[in-house]
Amino acid sequence: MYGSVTPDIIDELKSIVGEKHVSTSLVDRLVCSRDLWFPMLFKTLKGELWPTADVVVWPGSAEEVSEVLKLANKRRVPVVTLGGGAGVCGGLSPIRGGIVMDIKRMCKVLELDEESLTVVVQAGLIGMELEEYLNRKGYTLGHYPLSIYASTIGGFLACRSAGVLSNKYGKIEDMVIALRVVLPTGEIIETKRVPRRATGPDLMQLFVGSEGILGVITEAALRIHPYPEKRIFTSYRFKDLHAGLEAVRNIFRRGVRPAIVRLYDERDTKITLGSLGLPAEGCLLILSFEGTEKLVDAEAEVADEVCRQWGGEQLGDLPAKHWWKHRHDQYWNLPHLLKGFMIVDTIEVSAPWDRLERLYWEVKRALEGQGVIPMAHFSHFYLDGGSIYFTFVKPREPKTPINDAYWRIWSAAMEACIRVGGSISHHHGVGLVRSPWMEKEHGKSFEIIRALKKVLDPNNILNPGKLGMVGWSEVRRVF
Amino acid sequence: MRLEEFSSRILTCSLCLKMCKYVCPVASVVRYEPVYPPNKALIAHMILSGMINLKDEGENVARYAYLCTTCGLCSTPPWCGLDVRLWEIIEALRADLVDQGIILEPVKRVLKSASENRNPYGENLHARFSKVKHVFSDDADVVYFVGCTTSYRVPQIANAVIDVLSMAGLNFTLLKDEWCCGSPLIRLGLIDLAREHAEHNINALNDIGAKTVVFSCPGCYRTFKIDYERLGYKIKFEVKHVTEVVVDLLKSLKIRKKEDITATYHDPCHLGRHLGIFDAPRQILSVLGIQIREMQWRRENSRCCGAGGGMLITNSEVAYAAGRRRVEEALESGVKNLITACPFCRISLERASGGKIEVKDVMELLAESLEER
Ligand SMILES: Cc1cc2nc3c(=O)[nH]c(=O)nc-3n(C[C@H](O)[C@H](O)[C@H](O)COP(=O)(O)OP(=O)(O)OC[C@H]3O[C@@H](n4cnc5c(N)ncnc54)[C@H](O)[C@@H]3O)c2cc1C
Ligand code: SF4
Repeated sequence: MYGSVTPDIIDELKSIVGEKHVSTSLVDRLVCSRDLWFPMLFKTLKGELWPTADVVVWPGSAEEVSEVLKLANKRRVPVVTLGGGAGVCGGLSPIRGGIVMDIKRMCKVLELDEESLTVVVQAGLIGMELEEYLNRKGYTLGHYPLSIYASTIGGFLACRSAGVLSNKYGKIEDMVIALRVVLPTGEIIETKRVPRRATGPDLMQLFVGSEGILGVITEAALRIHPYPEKRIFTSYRFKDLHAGLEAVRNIFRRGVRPAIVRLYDERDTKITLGSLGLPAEGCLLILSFEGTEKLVDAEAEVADEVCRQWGGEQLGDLPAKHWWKHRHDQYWNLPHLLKGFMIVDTIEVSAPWDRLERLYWEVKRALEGQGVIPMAHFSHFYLDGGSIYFTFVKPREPKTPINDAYWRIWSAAMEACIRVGGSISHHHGVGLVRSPWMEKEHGKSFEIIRALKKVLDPNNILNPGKLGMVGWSEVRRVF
Repeated sequence: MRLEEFSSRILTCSLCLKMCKYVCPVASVVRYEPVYPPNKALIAHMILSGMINLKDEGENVARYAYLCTTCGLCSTPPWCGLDVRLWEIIEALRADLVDQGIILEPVKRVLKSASENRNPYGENLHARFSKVKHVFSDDADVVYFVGCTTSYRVPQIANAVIDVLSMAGLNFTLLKDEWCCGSPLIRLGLIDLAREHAEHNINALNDIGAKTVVFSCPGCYRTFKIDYERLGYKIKFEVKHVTEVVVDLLKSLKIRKKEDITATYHDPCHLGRHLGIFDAPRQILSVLGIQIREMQWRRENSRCCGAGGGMLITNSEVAYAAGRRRVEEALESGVKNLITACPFCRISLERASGGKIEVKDVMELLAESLEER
């Protein structure tokens, strides 16, 4: 069904992006075809090849992206977009070969509009590169996913990501004002840069979370904020998860929007507080408030009142500050666990308040049923609900192939989530790992996603097989 | 393969989550995925695990192996908490490439030049000190080791050092038959040749009874202090950077303070991150009356000028682009003077400055401010 990447296609690619920006070397193809999904890391550990593209290109502009897509569409060659390669769902794996397009050369800040608090950037800029630029000018985007040092603006948008300050600043879909997107057939479209409009469905949001299957995001206009005058950290201990969740729910009801809200379950609290040498019982809640000084002080006061009402014990700023400063340190364990052939992964799900606790218990039980040791925190909240982030480790079972065990764990968690009526992903996205559950997640409306894909990408060349467009057996053949 | 010695660290880095990605001064200007630090380790892992072989992919591997200034920023906390020390892996990879006969053209030129003229620049060995003040003494046990880059490219640093040490009344000498310390050779993977140089220099210094050897080039200093031992040589003399020596001599110098100068100080990677010397150059600047406005990326987190690790030789344009970025950062701190303590940084930053900021070595500033005793 797909055309192969023939020498004349390579020549054409070279004439589009320049000879030095095209490579067919195995080194480039392997490195550019890999994200940080567990099975990919596991293949790395074992020295096994993973699926690779046939050619890598490094376009320097939306116009070049457009020419590459026109060529690929004409010759029926798959194209996958590579941002920071820090996705955790297998989303960029070129399972059907073709072209991988690394867009990090597109990294300019195009405009800073200080009156309308808008920054316009190219999609290949790494998150922290933009944040640093804004900080120097006295602003912040407020988007701090833990992958901010590695992932790109385009990747954040493509995966509908959420940062750790999301409770105040919103998720990436709240920050985006306009997009420039190259469609699979090569047309370049731009949405209008206005704060809001009522001119039909919001087409821009169609591409947010489309994981590179509907178009390549090349530029974005984003809302920014004045750099906060003040930032306060504080922490509380609750006797159990229920009390902590009630406190958070009521903080939101009172109209307070902390930036960081992280409520840890008992196991996560033990590890987090234990590492600080603090008594490790109950459930830890970390809060931060930032912005205009007077408002921040008032917010902290109201939140304190609510936390005390729910039996929260003030632990001061240490646990919160410590977490903020060391929030990336948890990752240093991962290579060692992987080297011990452990399964290590995360699953984040969401639900309304009335089902949030049930979701927690059901997914936890499902994971434990697979011999997994899970821990969890709740870190993105809304008036109507929140998200749960499970981290789990499963020791090696000599007789079970690791990938079989891996898929059984995912299966159990996803099915539990669907049973409770939660969503199977809050912010990591679908990629390959959640593809098998997309129909169950969306029900009949999944047909609309399928139809959109057909209309926009009639030859199915853009990141084929992702976001639920792949059968379980095809995924399992490779991973 | 030399890489095997590092296999565990290579695998660790290949399995990590890329938190060091955005700090790399080279990748942030080249912007190809394989240039980012953890992917260079991944390439090494792919070689060791047989996923790729150097026979087929050698040239492609070399392309990335030499896109690194070995600055070490990616391997510094908080960007790395796993003690990966990527620069050692990169150097081993380059040496393996050379061992297998995969030698880039610019590396071949250095090989030829250093074999024939004992410097990497194709300059005449006998003209080494032609632009440097001749200070030769038979009874001095302190030796100022000038280095190739300073001798041939920025002799004004050498002359400044010589003026300062002389005015401080120090009895010192240059080493008549000084050869390249071997730093560019080690960085580029030319280990056998580096050994010849190490042996020559150590013997020559022992022959004249050196007790202390002073360096103004952090590259030479690092090579004597760390690399010679790693190559298996023991040195009997003490090694010091000139700023460390001068800090102790400040009292014996008559200094005319500079008025109203604000400057920023760029920590050279080899001097700072690799050898821990951050304060001595700053102390000299403050004694000179210079107000320092620090850049965001400083001390352990200093961002490379782009010239390290042989990049000026193998990827000059990329080095230049990285230098421009560093200059922009200096300009953002709102100063007109960018001071450093390394001939490579000075060359790279001056070239990138486009005349917008004055670049000098701390020793030049000090020499300018000395009053005759
Ligand atoms: C250590 C770590 C911490 C993380 N923390 C968070 C977190 O706090 N919050 C969060 O939300 N996520 C987090 N993630 C997940 C991940 O970083 C995000 O999903 C991120 O958005 C991926 O961006 P990327 O640039 O790395 O994308 P890539 O991995 O390069 O790509 C991901 C998918 O997006 C597509 N894509 C990339 N760029 C474009 C584009 N310009 N146009 C169209 N499609 C594109 C790709 O084809 C692929 O399908 C974390 C991941 C890691 C490894
Ligand atoms: S040592 Fe420096 S130049 Fe080399 S990969 Fe690390 S950060 Fe980049």
